[in-house]
Amino acid sequence: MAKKSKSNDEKNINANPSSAQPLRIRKRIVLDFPPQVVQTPLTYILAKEYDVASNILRAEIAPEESGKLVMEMDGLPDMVEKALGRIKEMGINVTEIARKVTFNMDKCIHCGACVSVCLAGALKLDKDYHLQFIEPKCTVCEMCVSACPVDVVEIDI
Amino acid sequence: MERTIEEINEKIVLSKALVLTALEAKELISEKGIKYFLSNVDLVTCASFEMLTNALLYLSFGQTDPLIYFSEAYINNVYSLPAGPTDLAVSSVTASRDNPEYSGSNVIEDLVLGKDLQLKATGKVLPVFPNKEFDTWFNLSNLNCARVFFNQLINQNNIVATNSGDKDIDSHMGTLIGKVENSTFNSSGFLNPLLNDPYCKTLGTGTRIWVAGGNAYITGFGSNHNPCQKRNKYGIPVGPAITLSGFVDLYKIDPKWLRAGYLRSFGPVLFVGVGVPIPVLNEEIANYISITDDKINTTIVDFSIPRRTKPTFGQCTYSELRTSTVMINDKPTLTAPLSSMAGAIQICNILKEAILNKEFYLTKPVEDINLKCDHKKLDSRLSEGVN
Repeated sequence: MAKKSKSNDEKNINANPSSAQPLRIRKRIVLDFPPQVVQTPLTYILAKEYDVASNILRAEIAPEESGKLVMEMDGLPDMVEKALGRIKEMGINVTEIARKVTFNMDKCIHCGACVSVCLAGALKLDKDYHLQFIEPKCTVCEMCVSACPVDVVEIDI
Repeated sequence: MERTIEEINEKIVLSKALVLTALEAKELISEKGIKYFLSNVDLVTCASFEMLTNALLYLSFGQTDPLIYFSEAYINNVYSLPAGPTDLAVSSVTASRDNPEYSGSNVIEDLVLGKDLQLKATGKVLPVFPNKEFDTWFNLSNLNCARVFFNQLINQNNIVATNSGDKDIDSHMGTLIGKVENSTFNSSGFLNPLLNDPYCKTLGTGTRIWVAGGNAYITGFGSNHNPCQKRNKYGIPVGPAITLSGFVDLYKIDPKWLRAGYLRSFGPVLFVGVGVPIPVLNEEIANYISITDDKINTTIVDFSIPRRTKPTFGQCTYSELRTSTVMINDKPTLTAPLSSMAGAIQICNILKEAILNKEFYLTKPVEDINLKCDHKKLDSRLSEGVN
């Protein structure tokens, strides 16, 4: 029974997306913490008060020092907006990442030079040794752009 | 069971030869054993699509009117060395005068792509060659001869590069992140021709090979040839060892298999597809062809010290490297290749097709490769005649 109702729900969403629950959105941001707010339990506040799941992609925070956090926020659109307002109120500098890495796969020779610098694990060689780009894992660190010898990686702004 | 190259060529003519790619050959050996492989398979195609750092382009132009004897020439603003009245040599590593990222490698690539290039030349002004200056545009079809000489076309094995220093290094082995965060290697492993024939039993001067779609010939050993490198119990060297040189005519090249590249803080590189057929002549060669990635060792070298002798972190096998994580100093380290395995597999198949279509035959080497010479180093000397 439970299985059946689930598949019905899925069908409804497919048939008429507007009548379904509002879709969650994902936003990637860079947070610059001044020293006085480094101790703030930010991810707890986001989860508890705004129902926003935060996925930390990169963090450079040391106690009593300013820090930098790259994370992805996953939540309902209005809640994400409110959460961003709250973060700004705390005195944390927010920069949204709108940039995207794109690969011109026609020109790619699948050498693997970009894989060697992708510490985020977004670039992999599959079992046939072809390059795979797992975009959700990408932190837009841009290391692959300069590592690519044949110039197939580009940054979209 | 023994075969000769002539017998295999006859079988190719009669469409009776059994040709496998190195990948298929290794699967067959692990399934049915080496005896079955030896008695059935005639030929195995091996390939590499590795990053090369040296090449020399040789161009022969026709005469101009009035006649010219080149004294200085630039092709797309890349300095070209006069090598005769109307001959020019372009090094793959010479950068253009206005764009450091455009070099001789790109000139080779543009020629193969059929693009028009600009030639700016000045003449010597001799009684018979009075032309002082000549500017023109040309492409591959306007040339009498265009060939590339690779003095390090096939590399037997290579090292794994890593960096234990604090800062990132841009090297000829790609970007190496500090504190042993990543490592790179540049070899097609079990597909590499010289790892399937580690003592050059079937290869030598004059052997016909496939380079980027065109016919090429091995011209002997190449730069950094070091045949006396330490070898493991399977006969595979544990670091860079034999290298082979060769030249290829640019007219028949498929641009897909010759690609110019640029590495930051190092300079121009070339990716060149090489395919080599290895005849299964006897049991010894069959045994070498059976070698898989787990039996090929390589040395992990620390690039943080820019000296000739660098510290090493021991050895690892290619099967470890293919898992993308290798243990260096007890630390799991990200590792990735700089040579395209996907490309190498495709080249193996292209060469196999060419042999089956009777477009490619085996050639017997005219001369064996010298496997006894030392790898010399360049040291400073105070004066002439002092060692």
